[in-house]
Amino acid sequence: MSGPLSAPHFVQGALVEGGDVRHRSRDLGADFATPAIDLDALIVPRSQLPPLLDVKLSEIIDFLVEAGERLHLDRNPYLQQCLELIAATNSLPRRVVENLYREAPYFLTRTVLESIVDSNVANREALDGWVERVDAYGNKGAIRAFPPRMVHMLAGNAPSGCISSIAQGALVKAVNVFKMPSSDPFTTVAVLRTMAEIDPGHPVVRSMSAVYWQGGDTSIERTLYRPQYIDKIVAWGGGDAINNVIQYLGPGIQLVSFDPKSSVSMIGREAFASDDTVADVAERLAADTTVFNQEACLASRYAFVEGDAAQVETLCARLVERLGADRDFASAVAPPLPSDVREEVEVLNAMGDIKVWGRFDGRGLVILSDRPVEFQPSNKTSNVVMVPSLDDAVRYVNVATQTIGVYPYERKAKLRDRLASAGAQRLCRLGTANAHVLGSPHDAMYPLQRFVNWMGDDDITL
Amino acid sequence: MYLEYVTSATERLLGLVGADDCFDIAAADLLPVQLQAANERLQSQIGSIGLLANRAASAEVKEINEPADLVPLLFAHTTYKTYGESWLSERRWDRMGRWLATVSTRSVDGLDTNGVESLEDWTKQLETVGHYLSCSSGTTGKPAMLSCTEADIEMSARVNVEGLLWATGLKRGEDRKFLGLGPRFAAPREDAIRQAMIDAFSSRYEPYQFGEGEPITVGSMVDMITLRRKLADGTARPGEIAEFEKIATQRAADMEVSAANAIDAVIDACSLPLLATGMFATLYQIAEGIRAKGRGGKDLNPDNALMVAGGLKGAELPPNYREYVLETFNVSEDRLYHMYSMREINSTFPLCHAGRYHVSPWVIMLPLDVSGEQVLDADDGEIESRAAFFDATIEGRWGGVISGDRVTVSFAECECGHQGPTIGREITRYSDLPDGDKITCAGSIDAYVRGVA
Repeated sequence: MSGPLSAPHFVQGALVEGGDVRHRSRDLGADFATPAIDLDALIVPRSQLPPLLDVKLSEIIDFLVEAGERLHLDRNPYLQQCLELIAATNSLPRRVVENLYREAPYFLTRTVLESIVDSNVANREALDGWVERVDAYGNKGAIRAFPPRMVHMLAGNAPSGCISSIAQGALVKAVNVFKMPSSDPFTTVAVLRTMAEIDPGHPVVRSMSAVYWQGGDTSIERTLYRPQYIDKIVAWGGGDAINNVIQYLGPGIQLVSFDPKSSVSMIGREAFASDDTVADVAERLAADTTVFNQEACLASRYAFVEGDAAQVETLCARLVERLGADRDFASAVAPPLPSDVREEVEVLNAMGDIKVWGRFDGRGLVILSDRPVEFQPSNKTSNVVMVPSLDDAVRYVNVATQTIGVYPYERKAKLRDRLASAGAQRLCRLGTANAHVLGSPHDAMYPLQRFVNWMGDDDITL
Repeated sequence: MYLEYVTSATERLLGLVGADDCFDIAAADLLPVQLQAANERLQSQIGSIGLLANRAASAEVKEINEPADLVPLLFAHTTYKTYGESWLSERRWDRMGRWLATVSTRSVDGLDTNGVESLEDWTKQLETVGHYLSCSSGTTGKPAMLSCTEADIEMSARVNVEGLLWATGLKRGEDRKFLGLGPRFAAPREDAIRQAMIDAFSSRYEPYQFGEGEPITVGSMVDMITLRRKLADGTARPGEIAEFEKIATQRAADMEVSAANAIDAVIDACSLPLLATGMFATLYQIAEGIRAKGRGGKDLNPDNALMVAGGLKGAELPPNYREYVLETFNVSEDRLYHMYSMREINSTFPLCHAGRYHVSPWVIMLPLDVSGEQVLDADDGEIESRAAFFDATIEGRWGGVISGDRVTVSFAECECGHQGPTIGREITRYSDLPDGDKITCAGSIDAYVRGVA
């Protein structure tokens, strides 16, 4: 055995190396070592203006676009090195991580960045300075979207997600601390090092720190999570890490949470018009189900299907074949199912309450039942639930539902108000869950609006 | 030795219950007869336990020749919770019955569910077809439901008494006042264990039982499950939640009253020799109350005995809790019967004076890897493993179970001088291990349901 993997930190523009603290990744149990954290270096005192305050948004976008161009895997040694390291800590297959990295430059194109700004803030000038306005009574005032001090708690299941977070932090000119997950304590630093190579003294680079500590470490969190230091904690997901954070929330320190979500599919009887449509629907459903080997929030877990038993069973048989396919963001064989879920499926199967296609080996499993199973399908498992009508499926949508892929697409419009009322956040055409219209809201919000501190300068003459 | 005269391996092992030397047989000497017994159980139960048949078929196991053959056939401890919560909350007794039969030796043929309204009614009715349910207690979570036969109940009661005799040196027929110092959970198996203790050690004095009025039953958990389902579905009304909270507050208040009464009961009985039972968390609370009244220690009979099952179950107590309880109840170390057991098996493993739990000879100890897929080799002495067992005494269910406990196991002779497999005192539930690092964007509605988890 060689020593622990080295996971350097990046603090306000500078790489910090060292192996003072050893950690173990929670998913795969790999050992890695980080430098000790100098808490003083993570915080910019409020007496000091944020480094990006007077940098124009257009200049920030230029910088990010240039960084994006340098993130092409084939010519970026930092990402190449990460790809080797991350295999030890992350359960996603290397090939899927590689494909995610290959997409990295596209998170930082001018088109994407401009769309984010335009959809999130009505007047982008408020990000660059004080915007004068006059109200209906003739009172004058000015507003500014003032840069916040933020901690971004990055999710462990999406290694390229940090790039979006870096972009968001830069666009709102924040002072940023990225808390890396144990399943990927590498990628964020690699991206920031790429940026530092453009200009190590650039205010974007000086506004960014990326460190790892074990979630729940009170010596760090109890010290750092105070309104005097931090305005917003952005959490990408749920889990125990969030439960730890909640205890530190209070006046002056807010949580902006992209909540833990689960996604579903709704398939009308039109799917059974012909053999070809069944094949097409099976492929689309498999594509939506297998995103990141079903580790993603937008990955479908339940499919509500109209049709008679024989038809739906044909779809199930086709589906299990397609779940086993190798894809850009899914592997033919995912990790096998957890034993308690396997146990539940076996018992239901032995009772004759469900029908099962596939095995528990991670190649894909389809469970046909007359109501949703009570465990969370994972590891490329689709629970196909027969419903008399998609109207009957609405009651299975709740506040944890994120994306709903619908077939045929025309039926979205009839369902969408009721789905939104039930708690869902996004509709899409079946088979496109992992594609997004630029500038769409995320988790029912425009996050940049919530990141900034909206400051008013009222200039009323009495 | 019994081993030589009886033909079936299972009967030979059962014959060891209560034998003087039963906790002093080398593991290697027992293994052949244990494997034979496991094989006998497999052959006799494979036709009736649906899940076992499926397991055996998919693992292509036809007989048990070595411990590894058992591994693919072991049932996770969660197996007995695999029924749908919605079946319970919607009172779909037909499905519940089919479920129970799938994980039990006996069928539910002839079960009449006409007029069955509550879970209590259903469990009562199940007894007419030979299923005596043992359900996990507590007022939260999804209760496990395990089918026992008459023989399982008798065996559970017997091994508890025998274990206590072995560990403490008490004699059958002693006159002690029996104090049940924990909430009583009414079910056939639990009642039988309690009664066996009273019969063996406490015929003279009126036994005392913690708790006012009716004992807790599994039925009271159904309301909680029903509400949790409704919260998850989004159909629970605020008024229902308020009502539930009121009942929960009342229950907590009742527990406080019960604890206060228990403190008085111990003090009232202080001149008598006691046999008290409970869990450390409740015993600690009662001990504190006794001391607050300026009593305890030498005020109590120096011959007192204490029977404690299980660990702390997440309760946070000071490091000296054990000494504190023993001192308050005036119980010497050799009068403490501390055992390790779990609802999924009939047997209980007494703690010896060297601080190790001794596995009964009719149980195969299977130290597994964390994922529960491989038997670990314990040649080197002590090994950390996931505890799994095959209990040859179990009749109503398959005897092979994988637990949720992380234990250390040794097959070497114990420092106390006895042979046979032993388990170290430190036992941790895998589910209690800290997981503060987990963050993922994928999650289920469970994360959105507060207060009735």
